[in-house]
Amino acid sequence: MSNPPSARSNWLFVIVLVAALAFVVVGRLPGWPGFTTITRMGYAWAVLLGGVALLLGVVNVLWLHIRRIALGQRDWGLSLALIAVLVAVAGAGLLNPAGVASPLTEWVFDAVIAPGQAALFALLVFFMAAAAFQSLRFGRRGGGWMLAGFLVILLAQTPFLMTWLPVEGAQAADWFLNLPVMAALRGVLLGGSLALLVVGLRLLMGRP
Amino acid sequence: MAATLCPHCGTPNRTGSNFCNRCGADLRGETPPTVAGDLPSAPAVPPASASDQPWLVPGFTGADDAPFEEDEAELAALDALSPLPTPAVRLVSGVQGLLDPIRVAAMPQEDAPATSAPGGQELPFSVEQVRRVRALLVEEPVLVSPPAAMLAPGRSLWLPWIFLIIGLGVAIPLILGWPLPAGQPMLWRGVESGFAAVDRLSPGARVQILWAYDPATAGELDLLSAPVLRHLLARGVTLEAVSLLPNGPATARRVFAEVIAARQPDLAALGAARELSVRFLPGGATVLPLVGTDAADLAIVFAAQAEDVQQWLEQVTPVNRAPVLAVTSAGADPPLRPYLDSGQLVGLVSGYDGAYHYQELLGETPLATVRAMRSQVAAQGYGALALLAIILLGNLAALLTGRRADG
Repeated sequence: MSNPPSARSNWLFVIVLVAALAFVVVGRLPGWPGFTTITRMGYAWAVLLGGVALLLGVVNVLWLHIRRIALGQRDWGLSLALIAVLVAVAGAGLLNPAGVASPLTEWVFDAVIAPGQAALFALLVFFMAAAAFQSLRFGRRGGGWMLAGFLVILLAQTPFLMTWLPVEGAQAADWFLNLPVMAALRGVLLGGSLALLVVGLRLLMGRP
Repeated sequence: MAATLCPHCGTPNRTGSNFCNRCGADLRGETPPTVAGDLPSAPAVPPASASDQPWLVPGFTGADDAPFEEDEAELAALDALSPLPTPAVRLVSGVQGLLDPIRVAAMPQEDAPATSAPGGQELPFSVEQVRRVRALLVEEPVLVSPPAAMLAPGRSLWLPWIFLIIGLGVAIPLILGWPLPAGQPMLWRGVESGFAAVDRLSPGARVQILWAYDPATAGELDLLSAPVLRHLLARGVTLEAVSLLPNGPATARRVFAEVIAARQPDLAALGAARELSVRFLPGGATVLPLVGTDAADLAIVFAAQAEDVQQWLEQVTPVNRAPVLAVTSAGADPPLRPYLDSGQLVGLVSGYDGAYHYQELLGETPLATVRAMRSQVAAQGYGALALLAIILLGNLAALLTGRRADG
C-alpha cells in the first residue's frame, strides 16, 4: 500500500519548514553570529522566490490573455492591447543597456503610471466623502458610535479644527487614540497573529 | 453504483470521498443524498458503516491513507449522470474550504415522481421547484429591473452634490490662496527629534532607507522626502535604499534627481552622490530582515501607510538595532504615534505640517515653496471642513426626511 502525499506524511516538507523556522528564530537571538550567514542566505533565497513568483504571475497573465484572444472572448481586443504594452515595455527594459532607466520605460513611468496612479488616488477622496455621507448616520444601528468616533478623530487630527477644541478635548482625543484605540488595534493584531500561527501549526501537523 | 452528491454544489462524487472534487466541501460525517444513476445495479443509499466510511469510527486518523483505486463501474455511473448546468462566471469562485457548505436539495431525475428524490426520499417540493432553486443558486442572477433604491429620487441626486462640495472645498482655497483659518501649520511632536536624529549623523554614516510609496501618494510624500533627502545629503552620509513596491525605485530616483538638480553646486561641493541606487526586493515584508543583516546608523522609512513602518520595526530593527525615523503621510500618523511615545521611533514627520516644519528647521526653504506649502495645508484643512459639512448635512437630511439606515 503506497501512501499518497499529504501535509502530514510529507515529512521532508515539514523538516525543511521547521529548520527554516529555527534558523530565523535563532538568528534573532544575541550570541549566535554564525547564523547570520545562513539566515542571510535564506532571506536571499526568499527574494529569489519572490522574483520567480513575480515572473510566474507575468506568465500567468500572458497565458490568460492569449487564451482570451485565441478563443475570441469578449473584449479580446483589450487583452491584445495588454499583451502589446507588456511586450513593448518589457522588451524596452530588457533590450536596452540602460535597463529600467531606458527612455521608453522612463516615459511610460512619467507619462502613464505616475499620473494614472496619482489621478486614481485623488479620486479616492470623492468616494470616501460619498461613503461617509451614506454610512455615518446616527440613525443606523451603532451608527451613533461610528459618527462620534469619526468626529473625535477628525477634530483631533485636522490641525485647524483641533484648535477649535479646548485643551482638555484635545488631550482626551489624544488619550482616546493612544490607549483604547491602540490597545484594541494591537489586540486585533495579536489575535490575528496567534490565529495565523495556530492555523499554520495545524497545517504542518496535517490537521487542517 | 452509487455516487455521493455534494451538499454544497451538487456535484456527484465517488462514494466515500472526503471532499467534493469541485468545490472542496467537506463530505465526511454526512449521510448525503445520493444519486443512483440509471444503472440497474445501483443500490439504495448505503448505510454509513465503519467498513465503507471508516472516518466515522472514533479515533480514525488516516483520513487520506486509503489508496485510491478506480472502480470502472463507479466511473461509468458518474458518466451516466446528467451533467450539471455550467455555472456562469462568478465574481469570486474557486475558493475552497472557506465557505460553509450550503445544503442544497438533490436534483431528482427527469423521470422521477414529482414528490420523491432519488433513493426514495420524500421531498416536500416538486422537481420543477428543486430545479428552480438549483438554478438560482448556481447561476448568476439576472437583473430584470433596476432596484427600487436606484429609482429613489433622493439618492441619485445627492452624489453629484457631494462631489461638488468636496471638489470646491479643496479647489477654491487652493486657487484663491485662502489663508489658513488657524494661522501656522501645527508643529507635531516628533518633527524636531527627527530633525535632530539626522543632524547628529557624522559624514560617512550609513543610513538605510525604505522607500514605501509610489506615484499614487507622491503628491503628499514628495514634500516630505525631498527636505529629508536634502538634509541627509548635506550631512554627507551614505545612503542605501530599498523598496518593496515595483514603482518605488523609479519614484525615489526622480525625487533624488530633483533634489540634486535644485542644489547642484553646493551638493557637488559636498561630494554627494548624483544618483540614488534603490534595490527592489520582491517578496514583501518577509524579506525585510535581509536588510537588517547590514549595520546602519539610522533607518528612515518613507511610507504612505503605517504598516510599512510597523513591518520595519518588527522585521529589521530587532536585527540591526538601528534607530528609526518615520516620514509618513498624515493618515499614517495616528497609528504610529504610540511608537514614538515608546521610543521605538526617534522621530515622526508626517503630512504637510511635518514637511512645512522640517523645511523651516532646515532653514533653507525658498519663500515660493513656503507659500505653496501653506496653500496646500490650507486646502487640506478646508477639504476636511467640507467633509464635516457633508456628514452633518447627511444627518440633517435624514432627520428632516425621516429616512433611516440606507440613506
